[in-house]
Amino acid sequence: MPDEQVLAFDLDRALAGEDAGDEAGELAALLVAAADHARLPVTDAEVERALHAMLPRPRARTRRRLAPALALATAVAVAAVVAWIVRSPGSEVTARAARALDTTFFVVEQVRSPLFAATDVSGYVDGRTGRAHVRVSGRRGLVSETAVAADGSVQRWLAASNTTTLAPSCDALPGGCAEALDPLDLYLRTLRHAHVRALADAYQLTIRVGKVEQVVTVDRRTYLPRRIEWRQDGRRTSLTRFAALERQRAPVGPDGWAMSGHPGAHLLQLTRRGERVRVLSVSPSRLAKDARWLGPSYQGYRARVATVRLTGGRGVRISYGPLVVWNYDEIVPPAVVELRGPAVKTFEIPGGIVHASFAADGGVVADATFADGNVAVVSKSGDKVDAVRAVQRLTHPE
Amino acid sequence: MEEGHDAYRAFRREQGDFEALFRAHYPEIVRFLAVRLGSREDALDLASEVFAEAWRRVPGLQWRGRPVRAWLYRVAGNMAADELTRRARTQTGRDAEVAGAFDDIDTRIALTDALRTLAPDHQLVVHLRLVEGLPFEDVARVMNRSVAACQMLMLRAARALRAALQAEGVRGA
Repeated sequence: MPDEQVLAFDLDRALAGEDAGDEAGELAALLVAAADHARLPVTDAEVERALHAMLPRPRARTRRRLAPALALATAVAVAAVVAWIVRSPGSEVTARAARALDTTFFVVEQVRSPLFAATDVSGYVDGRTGRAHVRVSGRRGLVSETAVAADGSVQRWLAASNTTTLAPSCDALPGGCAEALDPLDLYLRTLRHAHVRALADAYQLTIRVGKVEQVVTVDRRTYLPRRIEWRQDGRRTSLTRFAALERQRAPVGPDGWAMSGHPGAHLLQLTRRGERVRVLSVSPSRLAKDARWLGPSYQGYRARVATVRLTGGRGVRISYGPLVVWNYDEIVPPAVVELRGPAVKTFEIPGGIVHASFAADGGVVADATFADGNVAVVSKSGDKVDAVRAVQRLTHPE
Repeated sequence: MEEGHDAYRAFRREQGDFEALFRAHYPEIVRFLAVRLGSREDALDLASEVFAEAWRRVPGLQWRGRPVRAWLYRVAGNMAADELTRRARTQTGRDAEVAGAFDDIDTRIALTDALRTLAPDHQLVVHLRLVEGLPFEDVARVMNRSVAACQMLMLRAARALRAALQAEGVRGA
């Protein structure tokens, strides 16, 4: 019976993409294939339809859906307004606005509406690159946190489920983007057609999108928005005031863009198509010449190479006993994602940069980004010296 | 202790916000029922019944150290069993529907059918761990078993799946 328990444990390891022996590997492949076919999509529309049929309470639903969407939308509107001004050739404000675009803003917004609870948004928004890191708070505290990197990849943490979702782009996130960060393009398009009115000390830009009218009041001296008002059928549905809108004169450090640690948060990784990333199959393979490894053996362990097929991509796993080297592209293997923690050390190696993070349960992952690919060195035993030393010894096979 | 406290707070939160509960768990209950019933459409309907029951009864649930999700799966499992019994009596099989939703590849159909033949506990552990991607600690909470027991259940499910496929003449997947 103990053998059975060992096999059950090995099966779990095999399901995580590890090499755990032939029988465990065979059973894991079978289970993964069966589960893959059982993963039927249930769309948001189906969920809402079923909920509506059961509890037709539109007011409550509107509140929950609108609050984060409108709140975060305003965060990008800051950049969008400036961008719009820049896109007006010959305008006397172009130079000022261009300078504004070169700067990151620290934004604090207060979103108030008769339709939903008071919501505050704060964080950094870079109108030039689309980079953002914002926190949304409600009456009961932090509701969500979203970080969009310059390459468009996004992390979003939701307090309600204590889940952090990683996706290569905002499009992959359910419901569009992280509560409307990517309507940036929509705003840019619509702002070009805004009706502009000069007030005593401000400009008023009015934009109509369908039934909704958006009125942005832009300071005449700084060319930055003071408030954004949404109206529908002549009634105000929401008002955003900018409690702070500060140009950052100095570059914002990595901490300003990094997600906070959320203890116990579940990690969920999505592909570009919004599918959840899972291990689909594991098969022994040979190492490609452009891969990186630690040689045929490392610290007395012989290299064991396997190709791991993932949803939306694949990775090459090279294990040296307790130390594992992953070569991967856009899709990060779940074994690497799971060990990524908030405590990150960054350092350079020849041809690349390394982010080493130490998970709460003791695991270590040293993620190296090279021009031609990504490599992660993972040590589940938590020996950070091993992982950090190993990542500096990565080479191509001869 | 802290973990238990968090679980209790999560339980109370879900208990007090039906819409959040619905949005968080309706899709997974549909997927669970689709395998049990062999029909996605039937699963959508029955999942609504599960949540109608939840609307009535979840506010009165007592905290017993398990998440609301465990209660949902128990009700869904019972309702699915009732539905299958009713079908057996009236002979209204729906085997073709789920298989048809896939790519009509023999192996896929065989896998779907094999999954349906598993015992309810085996189906549930596969569903929670591999379809929904829960860690075994969460699977254990939902199933009210130890992590080791759930891992053992998974091993048995895998073997049963292999046996069912072999009986159908399908080797591997």
